[in-house]
Amino acid sequence: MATGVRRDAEVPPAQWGARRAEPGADAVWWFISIVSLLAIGRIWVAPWVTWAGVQAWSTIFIAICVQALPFLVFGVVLSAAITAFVPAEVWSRVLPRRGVAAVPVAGMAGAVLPGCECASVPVAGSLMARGVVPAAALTFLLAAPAINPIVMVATAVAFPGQPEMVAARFGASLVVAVLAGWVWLRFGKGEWLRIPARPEHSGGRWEAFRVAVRHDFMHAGGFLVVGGMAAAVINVVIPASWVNGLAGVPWAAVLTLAVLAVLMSICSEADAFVAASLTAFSPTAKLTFLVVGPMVDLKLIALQTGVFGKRFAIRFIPLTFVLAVGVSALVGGLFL
Amino acid sequence: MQNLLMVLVGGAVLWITLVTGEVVNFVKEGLRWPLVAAAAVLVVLGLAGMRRDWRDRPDEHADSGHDGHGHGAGGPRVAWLLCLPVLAIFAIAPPELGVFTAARTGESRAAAPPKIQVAEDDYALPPSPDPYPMSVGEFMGRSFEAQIGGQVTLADRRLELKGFATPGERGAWYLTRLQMSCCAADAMPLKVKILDAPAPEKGSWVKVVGLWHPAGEAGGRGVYEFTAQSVTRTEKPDNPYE
Repeated sequence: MATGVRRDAEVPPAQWGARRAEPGADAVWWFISIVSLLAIGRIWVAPWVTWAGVQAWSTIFIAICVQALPFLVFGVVLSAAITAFVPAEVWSRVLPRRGVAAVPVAGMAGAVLPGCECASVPVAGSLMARGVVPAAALTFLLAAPAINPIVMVATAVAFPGQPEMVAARFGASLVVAVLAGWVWLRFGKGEWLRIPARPEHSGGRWEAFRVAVRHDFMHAGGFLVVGGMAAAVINVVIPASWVNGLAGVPWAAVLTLAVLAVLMSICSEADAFVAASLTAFSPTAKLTFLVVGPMVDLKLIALQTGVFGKRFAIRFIPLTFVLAVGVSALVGGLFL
Repeated sequence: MQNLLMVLVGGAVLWITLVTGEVVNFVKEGLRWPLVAAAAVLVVLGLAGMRRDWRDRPDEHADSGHDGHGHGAGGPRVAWLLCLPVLAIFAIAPPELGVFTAARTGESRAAAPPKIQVAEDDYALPPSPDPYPMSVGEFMGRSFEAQIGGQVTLADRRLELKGFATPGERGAWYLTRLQMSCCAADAMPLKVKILDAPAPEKGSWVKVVGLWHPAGEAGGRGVYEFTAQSVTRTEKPDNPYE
């Protein structure tokens, strides 16, 4: 009896939840990533871990970080420049006032800015901080890495003689981005989203620019490392034979490549080459890989959680994933 | 401390791009200069921040020296993870991907014929030099072309292929090269089965001179064979990937 009472008093972790809200979020991420690394390691890695495997892991880990770095710095510098040098009124003038109209405009704007997903997260954050409707900024976040000119050219190079793949990728990605924006506009609640606040700083514009770059780089960079580590583990651990076994079943193939796109976390400028190499899979499955990858993957999940908060990520990421898989299955079924 | 971290990350990238050139183990050669630019931005901004903190030190000492408190002046704690890749670069100094990656990627994934990057008019091989040095990817592309009933460009021509040795089934071995389309995370092995030569030590870099061996049924895919005349050990090329 006495123990029962004592347990009741201890079990509700009321203070945990309260403390976790802001500074603890980082610690939770630490905890989750360490535990999952340990679990994965115990089950799959431990039986055949070798020095060669460790080396391959660290090569891939560094490669992902190094590959993303120029794009991350580019995005961070661009978003800091938006913060420091572009007056807030510009955005309200350029984008339609009504959110419903602003979303597709933001989606099309994504077709202009070259950069991959690492760049678009901080840029979207600073757009919101400058008063752009969050839904429109999110549409931009999804569209920019998927349909920018560099990605389109890379896709055309990877799928020679198949312009329909390029068109399907452009169309499906844009539709997913706009739909996700509209859904967020209709059902999203303001309190789910932590609009990144910028440390106000006295001093000139250049000083504001420097502080903004540092702030964004520290946030996004740490989470990029988390994503890079996870993707490197997946890359070294999953046997290729599992993947190929699933290619024969149509719906399983689509889902497999969707999940694989999330796990592999390949930069959107490179994923077309990987998709093209997955010859065992149907064109629809490959399209799913190309649509899901730039919008949802391990390093993006980590980045979005870091920039917009956990409560945003647990709602927005599943929404995007479901929309991306659904739309690409539909587009692939109709046109490929 | 955040400034120091930026200088550290930028410095590590400058180290692998400009000093050791290890960067080709991780990403494509073309990314070298964008990386240098990004690293320079980090170093310059980090140094500027350090200079500023140094000047402001007397009045701001209390919070500038403190870190680990979420969004305090020390920055988010997750940022400390940025030390990990830096640490890995210096402490593990991982080599290029090799046998381990080639072995764990299955046959069927490797069988995709790589694209040939040659213009239509110089598709036929030039008469000299002999043996003609060719990338493994181009060799596979040309033999695939022949297998599916297209132009035959490799017949009776001495070729020189370079790669590392990976073991196959029943004593067979492959000349292997990893093809990277963006970074090492997407590296895929290109394998050519070498006939008429004993297997060199696993993972050693070799130069094989010999002739294309037509293999596989017409319309089939994924069998690439090469009859060796000589196999010589060679140095690892500057860029280990294709």
